[in-house]
Amino acid sequence: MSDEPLFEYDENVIGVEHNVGTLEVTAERLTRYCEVVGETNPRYVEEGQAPPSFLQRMRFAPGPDPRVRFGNVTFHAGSRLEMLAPVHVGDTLTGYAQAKEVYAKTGRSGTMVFTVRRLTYRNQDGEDVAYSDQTTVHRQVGE
Amino acid sequence: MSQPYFDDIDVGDEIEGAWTAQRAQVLEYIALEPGGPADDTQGRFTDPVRAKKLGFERPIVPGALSMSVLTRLVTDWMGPAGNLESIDINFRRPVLQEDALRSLGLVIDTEPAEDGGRVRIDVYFENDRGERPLQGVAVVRLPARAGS
Repeated sequence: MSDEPLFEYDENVIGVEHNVGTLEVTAERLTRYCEVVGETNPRYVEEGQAPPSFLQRMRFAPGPDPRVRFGNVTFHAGSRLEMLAPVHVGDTLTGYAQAKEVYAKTGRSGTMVFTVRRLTYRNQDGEDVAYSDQTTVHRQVGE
Repeated sequence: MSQPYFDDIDVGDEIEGAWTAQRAQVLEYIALEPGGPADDTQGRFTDPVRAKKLGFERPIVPGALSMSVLTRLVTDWMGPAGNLESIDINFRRPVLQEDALRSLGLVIDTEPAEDGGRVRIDVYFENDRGERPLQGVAVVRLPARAGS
């Protein structure tokens, strides 16, 4: 009999893409974002291109949740952004969210269960312009 | 803003910046998109009492804001003709508000490509306790110097 802790999740949502909304990149939003974050690159502050991290600040609807049942603590462990094409003021981006994978790792501090969610940003021409992967960790702390 | 060229970049080159995560900036960042990715339903970003109950000495900084500032270290450096292709960050510890952070980048690989090349850069924040709360790798494409 294995002593590996069990975890459960909804396997049916893995890899299934959902449309989570459409947002326009406006000059007002972009300017305010650049001010708050302190952007200096002229590409972003003068030429109307969106800084990569601006995309992660856009508010889409929540994506599919694999509802991992494991542990008593959940935290944000990692973020990966891949830019495929530049995004500019006036572009309209539609978000497509999916739960990409769920997996467990066991190390010195015990077992952790990782959930990776992907958001694909597609522009008004149907072109994928960026992927954002967010990794969440579930673990048991204490008894 | 100066423009670095791929021809002039060597493995071991360093980039350095600094950032103190002020409470006012955190509040402005959260206000950009209420209900968005950095919304503070638990109070850990905005409420010192609730943050303490969650085990933090002071309110913390949203991971997305910390990542934005670490990304800026690279995008400030790459100049107007550079392109950030990807950035991959691990959140190893929380960043506490008012922490004085050094942001650092170290070129770990270069790969020539048409019209310039790709540069891989280790990036991280270091706080005054010697910790690295965020750490990761960025890949940037830089142009070639004209005529090279």
